[in-house]
Amino acid sequence: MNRRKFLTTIGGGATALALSRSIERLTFAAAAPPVKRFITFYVSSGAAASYFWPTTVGPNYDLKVSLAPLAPYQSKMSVIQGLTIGPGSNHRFGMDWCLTIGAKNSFEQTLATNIKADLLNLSVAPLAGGNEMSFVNGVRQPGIYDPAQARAEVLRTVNPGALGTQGANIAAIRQFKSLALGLSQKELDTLSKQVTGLAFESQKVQAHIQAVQQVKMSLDQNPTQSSSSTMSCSMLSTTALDKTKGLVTNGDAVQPNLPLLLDAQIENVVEAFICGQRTMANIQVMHAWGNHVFSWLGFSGAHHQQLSHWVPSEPMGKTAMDFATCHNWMSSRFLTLLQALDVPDPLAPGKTVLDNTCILWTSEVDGGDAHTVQSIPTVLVGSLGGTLKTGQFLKYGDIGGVAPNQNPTMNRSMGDLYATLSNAMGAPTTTSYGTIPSQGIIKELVA
Amino acid sequence: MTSVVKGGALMLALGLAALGCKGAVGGAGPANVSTGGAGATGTSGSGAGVAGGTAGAVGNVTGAAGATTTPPQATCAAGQQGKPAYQMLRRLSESEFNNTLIDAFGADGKSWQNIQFVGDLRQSGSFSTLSSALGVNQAWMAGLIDSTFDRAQSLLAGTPSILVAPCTATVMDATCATAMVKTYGYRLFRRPVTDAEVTDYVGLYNQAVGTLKMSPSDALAGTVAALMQSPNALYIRELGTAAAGGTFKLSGYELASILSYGLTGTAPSKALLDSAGTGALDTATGVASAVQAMVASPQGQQHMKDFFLQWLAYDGAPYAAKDPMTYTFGNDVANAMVTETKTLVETAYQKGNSIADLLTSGLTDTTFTPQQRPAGQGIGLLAQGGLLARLGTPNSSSPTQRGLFVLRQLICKDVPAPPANVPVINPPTGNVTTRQRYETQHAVGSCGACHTHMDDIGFGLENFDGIGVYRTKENGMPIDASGYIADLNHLTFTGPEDLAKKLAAAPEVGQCLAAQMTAYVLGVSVNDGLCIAPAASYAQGGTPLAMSDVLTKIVEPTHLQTRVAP
Repeated sequence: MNRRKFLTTIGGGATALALSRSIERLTFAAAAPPVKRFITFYVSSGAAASYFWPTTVGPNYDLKVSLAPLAPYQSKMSVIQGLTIGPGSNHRFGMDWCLTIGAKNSFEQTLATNIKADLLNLSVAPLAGGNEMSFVNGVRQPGIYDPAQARAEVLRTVNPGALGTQGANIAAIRQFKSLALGLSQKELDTLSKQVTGLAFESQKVQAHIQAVQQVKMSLDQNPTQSSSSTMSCSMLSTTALDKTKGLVTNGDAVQPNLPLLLDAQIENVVEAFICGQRTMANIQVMHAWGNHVFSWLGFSGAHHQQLSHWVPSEPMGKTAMDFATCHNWMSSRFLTLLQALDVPDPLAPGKTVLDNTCILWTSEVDGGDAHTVQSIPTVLVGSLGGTLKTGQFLKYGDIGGVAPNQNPTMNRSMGDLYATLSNAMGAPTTTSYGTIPSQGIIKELVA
Repeated sequence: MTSVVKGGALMLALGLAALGCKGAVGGAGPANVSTGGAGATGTSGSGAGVAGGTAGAVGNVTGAAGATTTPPQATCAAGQQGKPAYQMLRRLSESEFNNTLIDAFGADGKSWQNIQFVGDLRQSGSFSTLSSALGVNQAWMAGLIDSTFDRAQSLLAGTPSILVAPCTATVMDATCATAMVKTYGYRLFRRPVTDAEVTDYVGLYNQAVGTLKMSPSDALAGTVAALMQSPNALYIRELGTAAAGGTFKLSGYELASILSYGLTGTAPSKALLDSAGTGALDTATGVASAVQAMVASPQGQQHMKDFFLQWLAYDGAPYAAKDPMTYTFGNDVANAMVTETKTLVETAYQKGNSIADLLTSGLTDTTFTPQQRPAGQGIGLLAQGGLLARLGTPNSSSPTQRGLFVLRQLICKDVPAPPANVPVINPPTGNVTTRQRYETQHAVGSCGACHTHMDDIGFGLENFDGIGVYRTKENGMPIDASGYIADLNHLTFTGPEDLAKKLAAAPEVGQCLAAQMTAYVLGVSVNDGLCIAPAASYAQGGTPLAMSDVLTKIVEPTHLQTRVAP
């Protein structure tokens, strides 16, 4: 396995800090990992419609400029037009609703809870002022934007026993952190007594104590041996990760680093999936209204302000083409994710990891010009072990900005897609996700 | 009126409810920062800060059992402002925590850029310091323990060394650990570490090297990390000890933290802590002296710049979506607008100007060289292109957003959030003015009950189009920029300059500024700030104070040194 190299950093730096963060993850580590995997791949500011959506509906669909690099995987994709997230508009609304549709928990967080998966929530090149798509109890969940931190997160569940001496050090540090948290809890207990009678402050301290206990409990439980002898995180690729050392990872100076940061985060997800440490991940590329300049493509205009706001009367004009070119580049990076996952699945002989995965490409608005949310750019890749039908272009709704549900038989919401995906992942479904009544599972997507 | 503060907001809310408005009142507070697209064609125009907020953590802490308790809200009758704040524990914000570590360990900011916690996200309508929004959950805690351990390892291995005598690179024993705990615990806990605490932390070190067989370096790093993530480091304590009249007197160390974070955004210096230890902050003179030094410090100056940015969100223009078919609005213009307002505001503060001066200034600036604005084309803050562009839709001005800005940021009043099924406002048609469009749709039925509080202020700025360009006509029709401020006893005005002057003369605006500053400095809500800020911080003899004086007035020891239970 020459593409991997031994993790020399284990035991000596940030990546040595293997720590189990959640009870659910440990439960998962001890049991046979579910074969089905899920990734949300978010790209901000929608798409240039004329260059994104295929013309031909059905299996013989065409790929235009935005998605052209994905041609090798066309048979494993579904492109879906006409999925709305609600009656609102603009980037902020879209960020709040694209995965929640108005609910307090975003779809992928609910899914992770339901299938007891541990979500690897990553972000790429966030600029100041942006927002995150992932929510728990109405609170945004920022993704980890530093690839090195993300790698440390991936390594939390590495089985120390499988790593020899270095693993012993990991185990010792894990125990030390538990002891340190024990001391924190002792201090919090003292603090709790000092705020008796102050209801709000007392509850604040109790929430802190609960958080300490949860993290401590996860540290105190040693993961057992990996469930499959073919899966090990003792060797991971750090090729892309190494290239991000010393780079600015967030803030406005991050823009030119976007390609390397994206590659590193893709590598993190791939390694986490292949070595069995994760089955769910978010990759949020940029924040909404992020004015990244795709200088590596020769552009000087910002992705959001200058490119996505192309002249509406020229939907196929130069600016729209430039914006589509950004998507073309994004598709080329997305392609590397697909290719890296398209390897034998150690948990399912005869299938690839990609086969047992579903990747959702999504955004928060249709396009930056109109800021409507009636037809969110949606691409699915992977069949989830054959439960999803792929190789097709589906078109729903009254495309063109008409409010949702005016034509219920034709309109579909992202909630319908989320119900479909939940069902395919083996999670319970509800009659609606968020505030839009569900039309039910999208049967055209079910194999 | 039983309460100028709560009563005012309450009366408004009740009145609106009676008229059919729905939704909860979000606390009046700072404008959204970088709100992004200001809304697409056809949005209701009531976006900034109303619908933008996520259902969320503002004002609520989810406890162990999932139940929530809302934070206490101050009430005060007219003439009873200047009340002590409630006792509280305020978790450091992400920025404050990072600043604290940088100050305590002497590393430069750049070396800390990779430190990452789960992070704090500004909630809509609140300052980044709002205590009720700063909680701890599992994800935050897990991120904290990793990042502190990681950072402590790097610091121990880095140059210059953070080791203190008698530690050396090869001698990191229990004696060394004791010295490290005492030295850094003092800075991180912002008070001397007790003997019992020293025993606990050195015990942790001993277990690491003894039981866990960790290297002395890792053990020492872990011990330093444990100090960093201790509740004693994470929380600013405002509890005090019981005193006369049911109040609680803050200790010198508590006061040192409150003042330092409130006025500089970082931990108290060693000198200030030493001073607090001698009792210097137990006297009004000592507090005044410390305040003066902190306000004048570079960190203090920067901290106030951050206040103005959070309060006014003047950096939003580059993120405002503008239809290129309607406006030519490039990033160069948008960025220049940001510079203009930043310069105006910061210069006004540094020159000792009042809020009234800021509202009526005839200056403009895009190159750090102040120039006179064109006569008759608007004055002061409300004529700033960046603000006006942000408070608009892609293809028109937005009287609603502009009015809401005045209402929330300058008068400290609010309206309920719009109902979920709020109708979309009609797009511009070319044969009516924006005002006519808004009046037709908003001034009817239950919409009007709320919108009159906003739109009728925003109409006063209709001489500025959606990107802040001055105009006297729209679609060939004359601009009607007359209006009134319902929440200031239906104070009428005609045009943007008259609006600015009337606001400048309104005592409520001075009171609101003091409340906004109080909220930012003390980590309370703006509504609480209205009760806490003393009347002496609004004006003197009817003349508004310099904004810099407002800051020093709100931290005067007469009310700062005590707390009360909710």
